[in-house]
Amino acid sequence: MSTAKNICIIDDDKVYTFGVKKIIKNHLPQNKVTSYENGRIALEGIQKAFDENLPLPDYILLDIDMPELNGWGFLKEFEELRGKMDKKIEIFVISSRVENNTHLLFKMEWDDKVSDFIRKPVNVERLKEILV
Amino acid sequence: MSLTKAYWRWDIESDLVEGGEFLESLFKLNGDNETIHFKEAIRPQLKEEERVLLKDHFNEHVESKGEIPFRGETTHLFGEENEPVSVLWFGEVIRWSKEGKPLQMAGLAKKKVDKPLRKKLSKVEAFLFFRLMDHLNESIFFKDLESRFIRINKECARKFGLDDPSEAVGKTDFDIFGIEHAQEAFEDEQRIIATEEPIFQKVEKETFADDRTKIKWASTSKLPLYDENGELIGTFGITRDITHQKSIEESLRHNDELFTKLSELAPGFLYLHEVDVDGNVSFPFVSDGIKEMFALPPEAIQNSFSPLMKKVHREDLKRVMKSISESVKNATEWDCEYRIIHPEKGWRWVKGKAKPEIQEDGSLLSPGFITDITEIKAVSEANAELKQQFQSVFNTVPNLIFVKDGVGKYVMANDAACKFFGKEREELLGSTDLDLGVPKEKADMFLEADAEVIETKAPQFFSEIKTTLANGEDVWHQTIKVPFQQTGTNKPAVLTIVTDITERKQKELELNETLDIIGDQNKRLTNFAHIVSHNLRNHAGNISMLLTLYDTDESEEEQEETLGYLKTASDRLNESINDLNEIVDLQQKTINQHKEVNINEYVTKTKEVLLTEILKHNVTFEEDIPKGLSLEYNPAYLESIMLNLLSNAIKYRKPELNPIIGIKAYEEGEHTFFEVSDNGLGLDLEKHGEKLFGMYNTFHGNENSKGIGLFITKNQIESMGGKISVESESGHGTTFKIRLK
Repeated sequence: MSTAKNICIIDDDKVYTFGVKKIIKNHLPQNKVTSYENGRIALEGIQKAFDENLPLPDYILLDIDMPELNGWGFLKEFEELRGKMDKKIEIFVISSRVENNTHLLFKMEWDDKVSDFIRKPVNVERLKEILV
Repeated sequence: MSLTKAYWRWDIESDLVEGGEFLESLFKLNGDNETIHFKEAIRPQLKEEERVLLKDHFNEHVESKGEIPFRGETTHLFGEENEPVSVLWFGEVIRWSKEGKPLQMAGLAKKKVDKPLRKKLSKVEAFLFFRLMDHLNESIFFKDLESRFIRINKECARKFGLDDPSEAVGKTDFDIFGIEHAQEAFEDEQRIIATEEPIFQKVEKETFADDRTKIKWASTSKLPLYDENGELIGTFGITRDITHQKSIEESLRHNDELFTKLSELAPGFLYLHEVDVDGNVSFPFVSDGIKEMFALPPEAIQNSFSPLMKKVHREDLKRVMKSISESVKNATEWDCEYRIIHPEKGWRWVKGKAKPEIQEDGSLLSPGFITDITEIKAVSEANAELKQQFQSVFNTVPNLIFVKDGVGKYVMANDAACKFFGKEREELLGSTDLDLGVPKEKADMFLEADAEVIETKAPQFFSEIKTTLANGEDVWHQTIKVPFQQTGTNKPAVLTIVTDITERKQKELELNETLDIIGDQNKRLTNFAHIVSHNLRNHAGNISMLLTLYDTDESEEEQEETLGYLKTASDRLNESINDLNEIVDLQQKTINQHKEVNINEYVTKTKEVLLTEILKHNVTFEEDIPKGLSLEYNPAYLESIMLNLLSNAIKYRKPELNPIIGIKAYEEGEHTFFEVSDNGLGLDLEKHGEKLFGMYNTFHGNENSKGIGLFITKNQIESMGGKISVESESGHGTTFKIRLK
């Protein structure tokens, strides 16, 4: 068991967020979970944590389709902040948008910024795999 | 000397003459003589010229069968003193043979009271005679018994080609004329000498010894020539050149033949119609054509044209009679078309034409002809009908049809073309496109195309020409230009046929627009299908995830919580399925479900639905909707559209402000517009414009926004043939402008 990690969920689907939180609580109880409803709120939250020197996320589980600022938008805007941080943050895009034919495209475009693209719905095993 | 007259009788066959005492003493006949023969006892005593005259008179009398009375005059030396007396002879043939020959003559010889001047004036007479002879236009000749010329006059010498009449002396006809004529003349003369019978006005064909090609016609009279003592010494005669008359006669005869032949060939028949001063009608000439045309022999109408008139159609008869009587009365040309009945051919159309001429005697001669025009009439009627039909087609077709000459002037145009330019035909013809206000660029293009058609003789086709009319309306035309020959001239021209394809073009444009909309809708639907499938998958995945968690939940509270989320997930799934239904429904609803809807009513209805919200948020409305404004529309759509727009306006209000919502409806042209404006949050169109009407796009982080409303609204509006547009600025409210139809 490694040390406790900060896991950040950015998704407007409250049911999904609840489910993932619960899985992490059940299976990886040492980790801490934060969640944001969309990219905009997430950016603000992370910026605030960065500004106040609070713990920053180790993993970000990012949805694509969201109001206000979607996943792609978040990725672009987060770049600046990410550069300021000396912490390595792994981002996983988890979305129903990820399909066999789009997976590769997404990978080509975001390879250096996104660790992996995972198709929704995500199951417990896959989550464990990522987060361990 | 009491005897001054005597009756006489002459039996011609036996030559016996009986006469009274006066006669006996006149001819110094012995009264005892029982028989007196004319030839022996009387003729030798007559002077030559007197005898010739007597013979002439006799011949005349006989030839006229006694109508011209016989009379004559002789001079004698009478009685002991040889007193010169003139005797007048009157008589007639009193007995004729069956063959018409005179057998017996009888009459009266009577002493003329006046004394003849002959003797005293004989010298003068001779002078006058020679003067006359040499100045006559006729040839006069004297010949001896062997037919040698004794004396000829100047005219005769001229005719013989001699310088002086004396040169002819001793010559014969054989020296002068061709052998045929010379021989014939010689024989004639020898017969005269033998019989002492003259020949009068014999028509002779003269050929000449020196020029075989020369032919002259002459009328010659020849008589026996006696000397003073009554001794036959030769012949003399007078010849008149009738070559000219002969040629006229010849050509007349020729013309006559030609005319007869032509009249046989001519269709119909020729005639000469005469009305004399007393108004008697006759036809001096009628060609045989009448037999075929009227089934009448030419004789039938010799003295009346009623047989002709009987054949005329009853309806035409009055007109025909009137035209003839006018022509006769005014001596004007007669020209009339009418129907006649023919026993075999039935009703025929004929045309009559005549040109009356008033003659010197006041009669009227009309040469004319009548010809059958049934076939011509049928053809010309068919032609006229065809022309009429063509004209009406030409002028009824909606196509513009016109002809322009080489310099672009209109020379022919149908009604449609005149109407298009708004000109009377007279105005249009002779004008050019420029005159008619066609823009120069276009006029030049037409002119160039026409020039090419004329040059290449090949048609030109313009599939689409757009013209903007004065009223701003656009019209489209399809144009074909073909080479054309102007009637009456050989000048090249161009026939143009223009078809208005505006309606088709508009349909095409509308179709394109519809296709755009359909394409758009398809795109959105594909998009929608994706989103729905994602959503469905999300919800299903969530449910599956929650169910797994539920199984591992240890406490009842935990299970309760999971169950709560499970319910949410299940609701969302339901919602998604409902959305799906709604959209499928939207696509299926046909435009036919239309109804007259009043906009005011529907706004009120929508406000009722939203009453709770309106009261809760203290919404004010500013309405500008004409009361009676209504249109044909799908009521369910209108309800849905209004509900969406009004609820959006409330939903995206500024939290600190009481919402003011403007609702406006108006008609503009054929369209009905509906506008909803608010003083709400507004949105950044540059950022969100494209996505505004997409599905599941929400922009305000509002709890209630599902993001499907505007998508459906747009689809509903567009499926009704309308359009939606938006004006907004973040923080400054939003205005949706909808063209309902």
